[in-house]
Amino acid sequence: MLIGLYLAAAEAAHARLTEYDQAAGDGDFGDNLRDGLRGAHARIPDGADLATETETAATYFLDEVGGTSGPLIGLLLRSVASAAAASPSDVDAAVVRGLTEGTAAIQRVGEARVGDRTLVDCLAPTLDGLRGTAGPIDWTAAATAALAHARATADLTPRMGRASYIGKRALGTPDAGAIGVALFFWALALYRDPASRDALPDPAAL
Amino acid sequence: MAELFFVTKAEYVDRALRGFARDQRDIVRLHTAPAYVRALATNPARRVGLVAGGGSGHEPMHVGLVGAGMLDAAVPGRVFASPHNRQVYEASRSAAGPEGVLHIVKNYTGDRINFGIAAERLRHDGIPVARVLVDDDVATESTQTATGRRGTGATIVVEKLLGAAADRGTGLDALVELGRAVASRSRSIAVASAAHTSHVTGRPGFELAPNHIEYGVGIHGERARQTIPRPPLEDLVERMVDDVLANLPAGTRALVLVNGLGGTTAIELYNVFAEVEEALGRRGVAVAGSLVGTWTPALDMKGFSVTVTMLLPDDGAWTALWDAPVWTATLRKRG
Repeated sequence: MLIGLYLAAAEAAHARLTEYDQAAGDGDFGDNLRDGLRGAHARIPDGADLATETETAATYFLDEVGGTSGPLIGLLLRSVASAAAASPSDVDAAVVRGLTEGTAAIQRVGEARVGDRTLVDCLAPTLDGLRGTAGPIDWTAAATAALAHARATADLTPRMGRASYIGKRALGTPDAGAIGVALFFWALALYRDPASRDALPDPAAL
Repeated sequence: MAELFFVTKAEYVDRALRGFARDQRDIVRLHTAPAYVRALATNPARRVGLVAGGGSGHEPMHVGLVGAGMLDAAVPGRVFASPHNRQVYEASRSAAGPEGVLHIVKNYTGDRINFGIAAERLRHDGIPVARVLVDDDVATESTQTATGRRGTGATIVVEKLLGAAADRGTGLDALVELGRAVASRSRSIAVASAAHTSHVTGRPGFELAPNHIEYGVGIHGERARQTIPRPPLEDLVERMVDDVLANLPAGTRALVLVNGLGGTTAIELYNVFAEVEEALGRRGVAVAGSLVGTWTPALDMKGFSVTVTMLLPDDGAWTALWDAPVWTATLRKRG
């Protein structure tokens, strides 16, 4: 269900992700994310709970998806799966904890810091905003914030990641990986509140 | 066009692995999908498995160093490209000892990330894992980027000493400490008089004017920052030894690796080693152990590298580890 929504977002955004990664990267991120989610989605058993579907997707991204961002998204999904399995009754808290641990794993592996113009520049500020709120999580607001943070990578000079070798020429184009993980928040918002669709930006227009 | 002798299909790395594993079937076995090379026998005294890997085109590193006294598994990527994390992950699961697995990683971004992802997966499975990073190439000492020195020939020295230590039942933390100490006391420099043949185009990876050399060349076909008129070998070795020693702590005994880059003959490498030993001697450094041959090539590049590992004042038992028995496809010493 969640992965199906993430796949729908990646299908809609495929052309834009490819365009951004061609401008500042190696051009394959749109394919990798879409094809990874297609492959993962096909392997999720019917009626799977959140932990099972994110674990299935994590393994697929870690084992089968090319590039660097694909397996890093696998680490993110793996952490969400572990947290969801540990506390199935409190989904919001589990997802935030999983995303936080997954972001830490991505930073341990990729050594990117905030401001380096990578997918961390979507994840870290979005999660900082979530940890500051009390009570139930407004996932629509979180998705809107994530997309804004991802778009703001267009103003960052790359120091790590896909665009680091072209330097300032990346300015003006958002980081494809950051947009790619922002789409996960878009999917989370619909997953937690199917009525939020009209309040969310169109993923094809990011 | 001087093309490499590869099979015409895209899977020439897989063919080479198959040929290697068949030739060395008394020492290793090849696992496929994902590809890794595993030692047939494991020393029962080992508490930690040793796994290394990286791009292909540097053979015998690492597959030729799998076996008794050295690596438990090696993970080859495509030519000059990092292995996939799944290869590292599954090789590590296979090789892990009761106290886990140690990754020996050359300092390249792709290798760091893919071994790092595998390490996260292993920890998730409850398998202890640690890393020793090898970054010995002084030609990349002062670049502006944050990537640091490249890892090259010193990897052979680190793997030999760690293999012998692992055979003594050394635990994971102590192996990490030893590996980091050896890496921190090892530095290299490489030169080339002709580029490798590109595996993509079949043509030289770069053009070099006659009687010029690349000073500080990399092992993936990266050009050096300097192209210099070719000096006589005696003068060239003097300069290389000075540059290496300038980046090492002072000492009086060292391990030395003279490494061919793929297109350099044994008689040339022994010329180099004779000069290196005398150059070190004039600087008060005795050679306590040496290895001369093609250990970390860049396909068929015509050139060589010199690696010096400066021993600790009290030796730290490093020479005993260096002399300890080893039996791999390409490095063999009896006890």
